[in-house]
Amino acid sequence: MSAPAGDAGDTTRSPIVALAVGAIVTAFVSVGYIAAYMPRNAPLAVPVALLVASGVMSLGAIVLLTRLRRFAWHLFFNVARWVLALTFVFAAMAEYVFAYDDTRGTPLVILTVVLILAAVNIPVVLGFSVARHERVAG
Amino acid sequence: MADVVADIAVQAPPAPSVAGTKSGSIVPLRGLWIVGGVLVALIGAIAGNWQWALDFFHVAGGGLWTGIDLFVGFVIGPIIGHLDIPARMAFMRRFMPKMLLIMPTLVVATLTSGWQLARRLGNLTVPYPQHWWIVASFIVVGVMAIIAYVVLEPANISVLLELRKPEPNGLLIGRLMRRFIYTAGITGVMQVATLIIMTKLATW
Repeated sequence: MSAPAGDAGDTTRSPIVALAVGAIVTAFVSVGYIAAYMPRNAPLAVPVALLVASGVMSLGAIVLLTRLRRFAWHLFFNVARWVLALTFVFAAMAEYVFAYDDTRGTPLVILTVVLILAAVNIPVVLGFSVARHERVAG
Repeated sequence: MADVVADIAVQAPPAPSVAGTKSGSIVPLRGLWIVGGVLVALIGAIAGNWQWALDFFHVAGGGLWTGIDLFVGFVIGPIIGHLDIPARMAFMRRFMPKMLLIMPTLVVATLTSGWQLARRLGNLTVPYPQHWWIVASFIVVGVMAIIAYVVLEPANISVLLELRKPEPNGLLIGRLMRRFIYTAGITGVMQVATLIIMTKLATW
């Protein structure tokens, strides 16, 4: 067990993690907001606003991610593809249940958008959080 | 897993014999068959609207999820913390890949069957103040999901990948594993809250 002196990987705070986590949290809150109103229909302004905010933060995270230099992309994709597979299974099961229960219209659209946002951001968070510690030559 | 390797950073002995290079997938591929089988059975239970099977998936999955979380966090973790470092690393190298398959499978089985069960039993549409219990369950699941995706799983995978290297970075492993200390308490509280909420819902 040896390590370069003082090298603890990149464990600093990152705007990429902050944006992706913010996107996940706002997406989850939008679903929670709708669920809190059940069995009544929730007013959609707040969930839609939250989803727009989530989308903007997702975009910000991806833009910042693509600007990275000297980043362990191979490791990022190695982790992200497995996490993407996991989130795909989660999303597919959720869509299946909603479709089975005859969820239609705007609620289904909102739930689908939430699942897409989660399926994008969760692999980004995990892939980036793992790959950022890897030292890349060059 | 609170103090499993939190002090590796300061002890940092020479490379132990267990620290050989390992390549290949970070997920144990052989276990995917079992995961696939569970998911197929889950889909069958939902499609067949089979209440016993939905109950089974929710109760068994949720019990295992909560039990494993609490047992690993507060029993296994402290025990491993008292082992010598090569033994801890050997344990974690074998333990963590399995957890990468077991926990997500339990989570998806528990949540999907739970949602379906709640719809069937009318729990989602109960009026307030009872509905607060449902909202509380959403909050608990949300908090646990955020902790898992943002803190625990990145640390788990990073430590796992680091341990597969010929010369693992003890400082990095030590720093990452400290995250378990910070989150074990929160996860424990959330899991106990889950037990309280679910037993309350089951006895309406």
